[in-house]
Amino acid sequence: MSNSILNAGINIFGTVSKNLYDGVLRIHSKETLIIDHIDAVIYLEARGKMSGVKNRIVSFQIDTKRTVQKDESYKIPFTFNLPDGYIDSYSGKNVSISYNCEAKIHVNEEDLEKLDRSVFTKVKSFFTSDYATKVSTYFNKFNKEENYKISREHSDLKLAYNFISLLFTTLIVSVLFLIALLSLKFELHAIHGLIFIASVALVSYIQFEIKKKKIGDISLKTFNSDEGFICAVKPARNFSLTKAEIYYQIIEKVVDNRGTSSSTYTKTIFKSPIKPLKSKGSSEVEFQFPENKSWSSMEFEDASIYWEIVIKGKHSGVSEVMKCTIEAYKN
Amino acid sequence: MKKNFLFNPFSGVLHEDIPKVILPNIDIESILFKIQNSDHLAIEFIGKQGRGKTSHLRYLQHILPEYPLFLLNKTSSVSEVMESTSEVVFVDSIHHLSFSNRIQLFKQKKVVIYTTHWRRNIECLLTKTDYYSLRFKGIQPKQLQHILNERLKLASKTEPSDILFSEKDAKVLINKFGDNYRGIINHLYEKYQ
Repeated sequence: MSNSILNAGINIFGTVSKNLYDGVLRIHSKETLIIDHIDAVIYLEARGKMSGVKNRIVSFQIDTKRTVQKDESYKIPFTFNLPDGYIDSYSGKNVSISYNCEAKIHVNEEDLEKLDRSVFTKVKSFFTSDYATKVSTYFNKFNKEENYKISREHSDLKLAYNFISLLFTTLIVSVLFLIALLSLKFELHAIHGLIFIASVALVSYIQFEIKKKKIGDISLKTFNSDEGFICAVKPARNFSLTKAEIYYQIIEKVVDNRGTSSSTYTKTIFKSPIKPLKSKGSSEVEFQFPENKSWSSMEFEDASIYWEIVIKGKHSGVSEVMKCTIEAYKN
Repeated sequence: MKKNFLFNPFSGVLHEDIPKVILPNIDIESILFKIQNSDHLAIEFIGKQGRGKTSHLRYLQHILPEYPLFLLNKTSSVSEVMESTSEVVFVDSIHHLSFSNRIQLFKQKKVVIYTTHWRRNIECLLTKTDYYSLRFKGIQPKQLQHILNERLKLASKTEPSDILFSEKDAKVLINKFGDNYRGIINHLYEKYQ
């Protein structure tokens, strides 16, 4: 037990029903004090490799006009409702999202002298010049009952840039550049470096567009099933990816905008089993949802979780990948 | 995340907590005097990324909350800064504004305090703005030790007397990361997550 005159603690037990939470505020005082009112605020916090964010969600009153007797302990129960639409708590590699319940105990002005002010965190009340004691606790918001659902609307499958192809292009352009340098015998200047980079970029772009046309299109439709979802894949007639396989993955992404330049951190938090697609014609592949129910698609400030369908296969002996983002939510 | 902590001590700091963890390595009083007594001034915080420029900018704005802070990015435009009626503005990452927009900003505002990777003295010369530049470079072990321990205390559930960083720990981190404060913080974030 602390040496403070007034000790307080707060616990959140969990959900009574959807979005309704219950908790208790514990108070013990070494002096008899009159408490004018006890107010609480629920915050949604995101902390990680990004600027810290703390957003006020809801505020409510826990108690009003209470006298705490010297050396007696009190447990004050309370409930609060979190509005619909707020994301679940999440703890990942680059970000943690959690909820914080902060209670302020406003002791009556006449009893302030009884408190040992050097010990407490003092916070001025917004409305008056009273001083308040602050106590807080973090709690998690998870809805384990609801299952995921996949939205039928999603982006088209797009061919991803291939590092091997880029490397190959750079090699070809470098060789051509070297041949030009040796045969024309010009002096190297900074401008030639810029021309080289521009050439690599242009050739890469043209090569990518040609490859995209050669591989062809493939359409994707998603349907919810009992335990997961179904991907119905229909390649165009000219589709030429061979040994095609499909899977989905869930990715955590954080954009670090702290400071004068930004960095992006991603982490694959789930990868489904890989399933083969038919070599010709349409395929229907069923996937199960992950057991973890806190990975719904979400975007909060600089952090996001997104689901991605990935189709990989071979084209001219090189592995190619097509991707699209799908929306996973809970009712 | 380690059990002694309410949150990862090396995660991004909330704006309200900046004064608790920062150890200013610039003369704050002198800068405050310049802001409040200049007619037409640009105060520049310059240095590589991760050296504390934005942290110091935010700290100053915490002391002077009556002046707005603009955290610019690739999609920002000068209008969001110009629409502010304040004569004094804090601007992070001023390089996200074009040269002509920076000229417009320096012409219109009385004092602009900004962060940047590159010097903006040409814009100041063209707009006849007084120019005061502070370079953020280097970090001392004692400084780093203080900053890291303040972060530990802020995030701790109880008094963290047994888990504080020593000066030797700080030297090891500086040997590995140099004065890249952001690199040190991200490294420790992963260890504590």
